[in-house]
Amino acid sequence: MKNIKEVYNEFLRELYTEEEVIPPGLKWKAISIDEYKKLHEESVKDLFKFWLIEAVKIRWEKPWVKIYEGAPPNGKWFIDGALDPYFNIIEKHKNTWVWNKIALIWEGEDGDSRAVTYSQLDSLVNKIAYGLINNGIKRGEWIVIYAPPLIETIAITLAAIKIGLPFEHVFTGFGYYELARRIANRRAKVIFTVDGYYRRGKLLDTLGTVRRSREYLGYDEKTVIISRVGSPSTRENEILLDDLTSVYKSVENTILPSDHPFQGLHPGYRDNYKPITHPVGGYLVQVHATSNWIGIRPRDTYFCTVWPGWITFSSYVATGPLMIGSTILLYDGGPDYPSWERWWSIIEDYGVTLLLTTGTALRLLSRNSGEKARLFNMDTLRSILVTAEPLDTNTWWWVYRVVGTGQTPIIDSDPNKLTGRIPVVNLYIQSEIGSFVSGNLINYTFPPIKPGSAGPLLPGFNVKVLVGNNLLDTGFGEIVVNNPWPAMPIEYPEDYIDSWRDDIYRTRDYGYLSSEKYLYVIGRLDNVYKSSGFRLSSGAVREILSRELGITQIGIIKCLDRDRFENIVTIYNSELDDNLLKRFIRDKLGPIHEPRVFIKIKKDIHDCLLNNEKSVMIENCSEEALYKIITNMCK
Amino acid sequence: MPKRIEFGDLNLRRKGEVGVDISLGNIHYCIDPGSDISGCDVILCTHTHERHCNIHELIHFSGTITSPTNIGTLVRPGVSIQLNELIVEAIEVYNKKEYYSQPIRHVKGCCVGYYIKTTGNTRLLYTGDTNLIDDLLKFKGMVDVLVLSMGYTWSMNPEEAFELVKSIRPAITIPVHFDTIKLYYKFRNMAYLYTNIIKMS
Repeated sequence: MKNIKEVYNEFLRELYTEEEVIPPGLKWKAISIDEYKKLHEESVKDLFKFWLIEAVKIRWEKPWVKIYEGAPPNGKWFIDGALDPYFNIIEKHKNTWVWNKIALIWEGEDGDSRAVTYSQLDSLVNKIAYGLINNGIKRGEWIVIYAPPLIETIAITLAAIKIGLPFEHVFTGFGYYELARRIANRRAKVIFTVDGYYRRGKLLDTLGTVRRSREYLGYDEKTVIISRVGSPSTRENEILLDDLTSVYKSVENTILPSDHPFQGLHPGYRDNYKPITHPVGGYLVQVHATSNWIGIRPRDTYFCTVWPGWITFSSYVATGPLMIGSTILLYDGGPDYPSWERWWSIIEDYGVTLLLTTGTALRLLSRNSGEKARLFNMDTLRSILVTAEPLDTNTWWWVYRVVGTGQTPIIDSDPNKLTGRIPVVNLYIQSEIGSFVSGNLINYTFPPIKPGSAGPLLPGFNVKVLVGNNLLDTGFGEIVVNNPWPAMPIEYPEDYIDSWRDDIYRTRDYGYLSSEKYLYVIGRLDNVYKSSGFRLSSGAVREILSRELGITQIGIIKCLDRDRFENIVTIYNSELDDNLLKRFIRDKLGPIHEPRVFIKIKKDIHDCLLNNEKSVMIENCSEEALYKIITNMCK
Repeated sequence: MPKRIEFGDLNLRRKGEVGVDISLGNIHYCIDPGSDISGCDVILCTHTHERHCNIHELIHFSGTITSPTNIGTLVRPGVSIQLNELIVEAIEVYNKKEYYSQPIRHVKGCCVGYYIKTTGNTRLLYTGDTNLIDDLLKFKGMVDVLVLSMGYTWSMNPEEAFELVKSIRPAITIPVHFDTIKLYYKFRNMAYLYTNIIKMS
């Protein structure tokens, strides 16, 4: 067991290489590091001017009088400005060629598929919006969407946007207790859900989870059910989406002030999940800009494997690509069903051009699919984007060579030698920031890729590292943002307020910033952990064990997991069986929250861990290693 | 690989070797189902080559058949008929002599393609076996789903298929009938920016 920073520093050595790669596909677009640095420096020299230029690329119904005022965390952007978010996302495409092209394609595990054009999507959105109005839902009231990636999931989100309802997607991997927390915190007027969906061939009872949440809360507002797997019978205060949309009238778009709540999430903090809300104006400006920069184009068929409930989905599925007019591919099944080649098959069958996925997914694919990926023709792919966590160099090279070389050469690529062909770009994102913060940008600043890094800083983000009390341009330390950004949350918990000091935002992520402005993000300095790309609060595990099972002595320590990046070991002093605790956590918080291992000790936890669990970490998540370390420590 | 696609008011599956089954409500309209006529309520033949419509099977079929020959209801290019919720227009398709050194297989008049409109205003074009001919280009902006016979000697080569897609810009293109997967990839890699190409099983 070591200090978190020691473990991260060792891991960083695995990430850092001197290698630089310019993929053949980007050979004529790449710029030098010096050119990049100049562009970045210019962007942060006058940040407000920089973001102003991006802000005028979306349509404002009422111009702002001042671009920014106040001091963070209370700073506000685009003062007195107003905009029509639905126009900026969907309706702007009316009377253009985009209107009759495919907006969304969905595929289910069983091979069923469905597609809608922008025009058809607009029609569905109108119906849902009218249904909501008809049911008395008013501007500013929150809705919660607990559903997998479906066409309806996006349409519901857009309907909320059309009539000025802030929304929160809740990941369906969370259990009823976590769903209930989000419903209660938002005082949601409507919950949208699905009767169920298939995961590895097994039918998941999503509606059952919602009903348990409602029961737990004594919630009597409406639940709207998408019929995904059948025709569910409804209970009191439940209505099928088909019934909600059976009557249809045209609905006017809502114009919103720029600081109106737009979308929310519950990121994991030290002691629990807590709500943040992004404002409509700044969020759309930032998402529109960064979606363009990362390379999303109207003619793209874009497959993002991140599910609703995470910032990547909110920004780079539900809003950004639609603002651009791309086709989005949605898949609500398991990546390994019926085999680990499912995603490759999807890419080939639909001619996917951009793939956005997580480091964990790629690591698992490299181990389980390996050379089989080459059996698929993925020549339409022009970039692979990676989000949510570090991407180790071994996996990066596997993706670049095996998936990214393709079968048709570009410029000087050689399929027989697996030389690589298209960019594999790792990007750094954080929920509070609302968009990517670093990464090679296919449509903007593209210096050489440095495998292992999360790429160079994005223009408009003045990122530095905090080493002790010193704010540095390079070095190992906490990653901080030294400027406000347009999507800054307008509703936030104390933790977020505490992270702002001296006008500097502390991300709580630890990493290395090179002198060339490449960022190597490792993990959180607190006990928040990233597992399979999910930002999880170990405090939530502690809270529920303590509150619901009365276990007062709980210690939680992070460990470095070679597959999923991080995990936790939960040490407890109680007579309760560890299998019971596992089942309890899976049931209440969801399977993603199950700790790697529970270790029961019959000793005072505080004596055993010396209260240092928040600052230490175990370098190995294998059960054997965890038992050995903990039992040695707590003899 | 997708087995079924829902678009607008129609559901579409592959049927037989080269055909499709489009269903609206409970009625299955099979275009060129070959020998696999099970489950079909209506059969639309582009011509009677075995892989498209097998006449030995069709004689056992009791539902409606349309074809450009003497089997079922005769359809002629430019003529539309109403089949339940569908308006079906037969269109002229054929091979171009200048493309081949041997006698051509689909001479003018032997075959038709189908342009279909549903009551929900979904528009589907099934080309059948043909080269790229001017008659097909008139469908510019009028096709939601293109079922494209390509990559087979007596149909469009990948370049012709690409030209058709680039010209008429269907929302979705489902290639059928290709001899080798390489010809499919060649077409897909040229055309994917102009339509959403879906490879169905």
